[in-house]
Amino acid sequence: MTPHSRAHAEPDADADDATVIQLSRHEPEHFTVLFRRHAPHIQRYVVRRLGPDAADDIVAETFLLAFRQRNTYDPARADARPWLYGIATNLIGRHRRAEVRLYRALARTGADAVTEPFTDRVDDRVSAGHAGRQLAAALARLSAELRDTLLLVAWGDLSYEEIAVALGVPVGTVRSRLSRARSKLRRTLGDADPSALAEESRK
Amino acid sequence: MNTDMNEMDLLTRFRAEVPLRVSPHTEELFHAGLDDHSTERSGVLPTRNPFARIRMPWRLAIATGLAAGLAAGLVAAVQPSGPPVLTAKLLADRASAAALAGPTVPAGQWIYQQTLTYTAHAPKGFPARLTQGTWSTADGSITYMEGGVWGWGPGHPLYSKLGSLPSDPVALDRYLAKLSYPNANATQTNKDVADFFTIGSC
Repeated sequence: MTPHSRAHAEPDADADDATVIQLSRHEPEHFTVLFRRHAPHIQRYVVRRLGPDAADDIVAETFLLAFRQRNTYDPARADARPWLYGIATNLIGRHRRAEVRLYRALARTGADAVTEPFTDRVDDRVSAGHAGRQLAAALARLSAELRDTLLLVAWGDLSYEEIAVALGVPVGTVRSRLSRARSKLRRTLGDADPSALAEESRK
Repeated sequence: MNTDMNEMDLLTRFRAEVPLRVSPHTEELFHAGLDDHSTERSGVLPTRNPFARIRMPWRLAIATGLAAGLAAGLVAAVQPSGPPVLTAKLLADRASAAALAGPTVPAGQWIYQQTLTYTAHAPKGFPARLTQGTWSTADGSITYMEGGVWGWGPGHPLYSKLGSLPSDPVALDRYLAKLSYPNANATQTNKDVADFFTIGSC
């Protein structure tokens, strides 16, 4: 039986995350439902931060850590995304230097090792364009906690409250960090017209 | 379009070409980790009732497989020669002997059990490999499952009562069959399956 054919996850398709986790306490196979539900999003988030090579291990470890900690999950939280993004973000924290190196390399050369495997366009492989380079430079200059907060909003699609749960900080701290992160981003982007940068990034 | 919105919009589009999917390697790593966990847990713990937590359709599927296996065993048992065959009677005999020879465990002591069940020809939607874990008292009177306390129904012999069960295998078999299948019209195969389940719950 291949991992892809594990059909026993199907009965939980309509159950919320908390229920699935509760069931998995006694029948671990239920946890595969959570994996199928959220792993694509977590993987995309991690790949965008660290590239595809590092992401495989981190995403698998995220779900295995979650599995081992499932008995401590608060059943009142129906949505497990903040929990999973929090674990993934902690694991990404072990690779801060690698992440910053990738941003700096992109800012310096215009070549993005993260997106290279996913684009067919030769132009995109050669250069991410001015917008991408400036943004990479800005992200490289942010502190880890500001970058985590900013990217959980932009790439994790989490609300302030969900980020607070993910990072284990008060909501006020999330607001403050996000405000500071965006200010720094704007300063680094300098006088560039954000509309023009956004337009360029669509090309 | 204001500046703030464009700034976040730009960030949202950054590396947006990364696809929304799980890589096969990630999936492989995750399932391997999950399997390792199951193997670790099941390798050192005793089996009590491997069928108690399985949902009814799955239980039926297992029962069908077991029935076929037991029927084959019974057929083989009447052959004039060959090695000893594990029949329901023999299982009952061994279960009672093993229970009587076992260490004394306080009736209220909590025991965690994890079982790993394989089904050779699993029907669609049924896992070939199923791992289950439960907490229960040694006498089987209370079992903790899925966040709630669940007690055994009437008629099931409890661990603490094993000593009072008939020691004769034939009498024990008759007693166990009567517990689950009082219906005299039940087929021999059904009785054998019922015996197997009852033995498992002892």
